[in-house]
Amino acid sequence: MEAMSLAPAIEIRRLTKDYGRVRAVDDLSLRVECGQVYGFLGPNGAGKSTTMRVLLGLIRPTRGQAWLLGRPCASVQARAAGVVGALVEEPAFYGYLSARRNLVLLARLSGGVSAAEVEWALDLVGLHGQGGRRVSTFSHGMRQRLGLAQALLPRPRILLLDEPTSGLDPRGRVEMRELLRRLNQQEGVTIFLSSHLLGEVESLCTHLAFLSRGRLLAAGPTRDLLASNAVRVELEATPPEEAWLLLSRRAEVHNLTRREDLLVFSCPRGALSGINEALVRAGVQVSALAPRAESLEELYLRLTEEAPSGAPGA
Amino acid sequence: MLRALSVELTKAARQRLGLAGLGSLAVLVGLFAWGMWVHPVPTRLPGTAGGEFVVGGKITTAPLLSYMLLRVPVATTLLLPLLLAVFTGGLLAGERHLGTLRTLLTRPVTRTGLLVAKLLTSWVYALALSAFLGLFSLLLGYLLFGPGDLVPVLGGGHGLTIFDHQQALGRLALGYGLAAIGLTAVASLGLFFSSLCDNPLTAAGLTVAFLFISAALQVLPYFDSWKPYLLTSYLDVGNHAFAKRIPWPEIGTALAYLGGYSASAALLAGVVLGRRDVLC
Repeated sequence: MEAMSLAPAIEIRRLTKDYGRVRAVDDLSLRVECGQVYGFLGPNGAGKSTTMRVLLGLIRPTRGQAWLLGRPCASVQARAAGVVGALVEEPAFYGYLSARRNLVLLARLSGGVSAAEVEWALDLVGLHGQGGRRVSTFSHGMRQRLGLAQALLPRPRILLLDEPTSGLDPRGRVEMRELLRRLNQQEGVTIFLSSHLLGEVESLCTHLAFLSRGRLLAAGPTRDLLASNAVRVELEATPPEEAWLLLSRRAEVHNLTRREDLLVFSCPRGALSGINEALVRAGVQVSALAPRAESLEELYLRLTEEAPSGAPGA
Repeated sequence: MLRALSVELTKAARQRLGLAGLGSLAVLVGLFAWGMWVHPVPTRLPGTAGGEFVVGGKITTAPLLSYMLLRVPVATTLLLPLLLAVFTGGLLAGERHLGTLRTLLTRPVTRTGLLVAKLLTSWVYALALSAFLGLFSLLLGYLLFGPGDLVPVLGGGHGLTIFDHQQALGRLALGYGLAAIGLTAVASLGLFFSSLCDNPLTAAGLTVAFLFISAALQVLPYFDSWKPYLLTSYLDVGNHAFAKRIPWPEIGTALAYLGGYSASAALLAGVVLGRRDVLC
């Protein structure tokens, strides 16, 4: 029991999943401690949903193992009441039943919940007064909210959320974000979420992992990742064409773009003086070289651009 | 597993599909009753040696309506299996298609537990269809024709047998009970095809195709040696209930084959469900 409480919320060791010849997840290892809000980022087909499905026992890994609170993820104990709640992709419900009846039936599989708890969950996700409506009459956003309500019954210690704000309007997104923050800070729920909305992830997640073509590119505390040694640089140089040519040939330069005479690129902080020297030596007149810390979006783009292209994605 | 069974039964009871099945059976019973009202069964029946029996009194009774529905293949070997194929198609393939299988399996329920719950639900539906057909036809028969003896006009044994009202009810209960067991084998088969497919219509189509092919093999003389192993050879097991002396050995053989089909289909469904990734 003691060992169980010391176990990380999520642990993935050398996970690989192949769909025939396609490798969706490639030797992924990850550890999420209790109480963290962990953002799982990557382009479409990076292997995020596959990883979530492995954690929920929906998919068998080709190799490797994963645990939820120290319990093997394929075991029914890992999905026992109070351990994990999940929202995987678009939530699916029985359209011919009311929202309330759907919640009652799904919670019954976890041992049942009281009517008051069902109402609590409906209120929490903003579906107060809608519990008696058939789910077939719900909008996409309402289904998404109901999906979160079912994940919260009975109250889990870990929430696995795949695109939880997809389909929500801007107000709904803010409400969902605040709800997740509250669940984490007040009730200590560990949250593992994937999203393409980087602003949302940046404001919510304490930790991040970047995945591309099934491979882990980087992982760690959000603050550390954003304060890493890579910088975004704005360069004013004459002639800009020659500067572009030179920069595009250098391996340490990424995400090179041009806005009129301004060239913008990412590079390691330590490479900056070398780049400047090379430009001057080539006869390029550098009038401004302004480095600044990368935003999450720039970090994401740099990491996913740098990712090796050898492994097929899924 | 009991929790999963309770969830599955609640869903089945609230689904329109299940009620539509009972509704279509009610229509069939109504049509049969109307036909028997307009064209009562003749009192002269063909005999075994070219002669004929003349039966005094009333032949068209409530038990006869119920008996006719059990004996005429349109109900027990066509409509009921079709309804079951559609119902079982929804149990796994339908849930996969909607994405609700994924929702269910994120709960603390094993795949085996869920499969057993769905298998038992399909059996309950098979029993419900059979019981509804028997009871509704008797009820309508009592209203239209009143009680009376049962003359099994379509045969069922050597010579003509007449069951008094009490005997008739017992034989009908046995007949419908045996038919229900036959239908549970169809339900198990339907669940197996449902475990293979992502679309409920495909699963239902495969079940119906299997039954049609089995029925075709049963009537083609080239496959006489296959007959004892065909599922459709035993779906009319309920007919044995109307023989003068109930042929228990034949019934036992039929039940053994039906049980074998059921067990094999359930086992295969378990293997498929256990091994397939849930991607939808």
